[in-house]
Amino acid sequence: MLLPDDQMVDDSELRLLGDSAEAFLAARASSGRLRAGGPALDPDIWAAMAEQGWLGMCLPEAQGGLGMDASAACVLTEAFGAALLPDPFIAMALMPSLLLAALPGAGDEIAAGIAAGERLVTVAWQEAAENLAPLPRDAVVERNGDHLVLRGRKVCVPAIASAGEWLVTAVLDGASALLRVDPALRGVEVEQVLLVDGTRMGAVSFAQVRLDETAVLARGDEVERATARMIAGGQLALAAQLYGIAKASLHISLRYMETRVQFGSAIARFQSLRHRAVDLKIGLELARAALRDARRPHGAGDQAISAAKASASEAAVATSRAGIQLHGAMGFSDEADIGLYHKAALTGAAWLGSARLHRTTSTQGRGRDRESA
Amino acid sequence: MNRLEEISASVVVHRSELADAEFRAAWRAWLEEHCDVQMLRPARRLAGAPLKAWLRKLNVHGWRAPGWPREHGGMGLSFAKQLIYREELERLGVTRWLDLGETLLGPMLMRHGTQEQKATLLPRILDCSDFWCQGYSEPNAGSDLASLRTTAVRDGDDFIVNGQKIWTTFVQDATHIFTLVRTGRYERRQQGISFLLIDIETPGITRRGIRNIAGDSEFGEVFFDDVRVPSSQLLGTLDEGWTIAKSLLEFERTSIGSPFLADLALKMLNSLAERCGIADDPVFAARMKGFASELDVARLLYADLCGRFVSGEKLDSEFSMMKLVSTELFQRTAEYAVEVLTPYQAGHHDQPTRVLFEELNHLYLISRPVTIFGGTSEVQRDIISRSLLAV
Repeated sequence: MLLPDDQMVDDSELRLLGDSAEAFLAARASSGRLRAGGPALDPDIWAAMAEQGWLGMCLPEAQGGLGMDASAACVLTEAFGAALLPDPFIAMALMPSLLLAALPGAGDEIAAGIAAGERLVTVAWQEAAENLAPLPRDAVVERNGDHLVLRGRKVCVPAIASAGEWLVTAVLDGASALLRVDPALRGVEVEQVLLVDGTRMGAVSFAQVRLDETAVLARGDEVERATARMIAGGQLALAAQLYGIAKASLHISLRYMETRVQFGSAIARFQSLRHRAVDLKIGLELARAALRDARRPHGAGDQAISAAKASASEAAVATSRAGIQLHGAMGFSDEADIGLYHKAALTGAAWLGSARLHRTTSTQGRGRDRESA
Repeated sequence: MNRLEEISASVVVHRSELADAEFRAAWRAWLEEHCDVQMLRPARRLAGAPLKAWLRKLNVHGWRAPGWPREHGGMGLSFAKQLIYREELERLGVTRWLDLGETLLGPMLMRHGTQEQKATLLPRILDCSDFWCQGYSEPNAGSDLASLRTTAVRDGDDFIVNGQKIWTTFVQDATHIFTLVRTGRYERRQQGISFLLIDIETPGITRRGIRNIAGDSEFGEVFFDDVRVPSSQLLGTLDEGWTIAKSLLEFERTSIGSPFLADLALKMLNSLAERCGIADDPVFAARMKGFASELDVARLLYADLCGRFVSGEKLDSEFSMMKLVSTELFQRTAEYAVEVLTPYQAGHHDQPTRVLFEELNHLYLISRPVTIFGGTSEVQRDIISRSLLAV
């Protein structure tokens, strides 16, 4: 088990959180579940996470949470990434919590249910792949007599197979609104997409879905602000999860190199392999520095989060991909964990903005502003 | 002490005790006042008379030897202030300089020199009476330095030195050379090497400049033919010179990893792309953002390492990693700049663009050896891999 990075955790409360995550994960190996291809969310594990207080950790205490921020959640997600935990913590606990925490009074009952692990909620906010705009445009809800009608489409909806209810952003009377939508309603159509790591995302269409007024949880600019906050927090936690994946991928590859003997010696003695390992370590260190910067206590800007997401995505994909090569033929076998890490890296790297997208965002305007030499 | 020295000494005491922000402001103000146009060419490095004039000016004004303790005539700055000192030079784009007497020999003298060596040599470094070059590399001992073959054989009170050194930076400007020479043979090749201080004018020494591909003659080679060196010129213990050479002032390790030159290459790329009308090309713009983003993250890592270093953490392979990050990013940026801009060079005749292109071409050429000197990238990777792998 890999401990969360000491450099990242200089707060005793967070250190305790890291310790409990370590103990929790040590008792629950994920690789068997991943190979069996079962559902991403295991009800027993989800209940145990609720018991730890993790599911609602970013909700204010008034909503049944611990009042922590996304930076604190990084302690958990880094450990989850390193342990390959498939349960959709970011999608179904952290992001809906951050959204509802920013809209007090809007969905307190739902928030309490998330924290208790009793309500399985995902957020449908994104309207096009690689488009991170927090403002809804295509999903529109209109009044029709005594009820509302929702139409439009959402994509990249995470944990689609596990969620029992959705929080959906839509345009209402020219402003943003947050709706609670039951997937079983007439007019709701879901197309599930099987991702490389075995998890599923959804594209959701709403064809004149009839809702009553109580479905509107909040409306106005605050919804857009809350959505933006949720996206940023999700990206930060996902960057930490990818960093955990990268760190563990490098760790297991290095240990494999030390034990695997060919041509009469451990392959870790071969210079070409050693140099590859060093390059992976450098990518990991760059990601660590960017993540640490984005986790600053006084609140990092979106550019810092983009830099962290980009660097961690690249490090996770590169480290696990090279890890397959460093494992030789064993790396291509399902028996070795490195392949599981690679698939988790690919999926995480593609969600909430790719490295390419974040590289562009993280320097927007800055490159051009530099004075001439 | 004459009057001027008294004034500068009192200023030195004052500066090391300033608050960091005040220190930064004072240094910035001094640089802005004293850097003329020749001192604002960061792609270049000072050499010859202008170099010595600049070092003397720093000395007179109390800005010389930031890392040396005050008792030896330095500024006595904390690591944090030394970083500020360098940040301001980089921020303003001051022409770079190298003085191995200050950065390498001085600290080794302080640690390993006799009282007499310290008393005579250190002040002469500060006022540039002596200008030192470093004689380590040999034709067959580059990255594998321990295989060096220049010998020093004891003869009464003297050593007789024979052999050859190469890649000696500023050999033409130097008055003295500090060398690693073989004085004994042991099973461990690192043993039996001694550290010898030699006056460059000693009979039997000949020097030859080597022009590099950028057109500069900064380095050269030195031939030793029965050169008689007094044994009092030995630094430290006989046969233990390797240990001395390894004990660099730790702070110097931080300077090797600064992403400053990568930043400079990116600024030039930006500026020339505007002038050549390609800045808005989408493929170019995407590459630029990629480089800018990589540079930002490299800066974060550098700041993180420097912060940990200042707070006393022991860092070793981390700075080797930083060297790889910064030098390789510098190279890739400069390579891309030359690839994409060179086709436009002859189409732009105005004076500022012409000068910028010449600076870019120079910067590109000096980006070649950064992955060679100070331990090649391949040797650095060997060193780092030892901290990763148990075999």
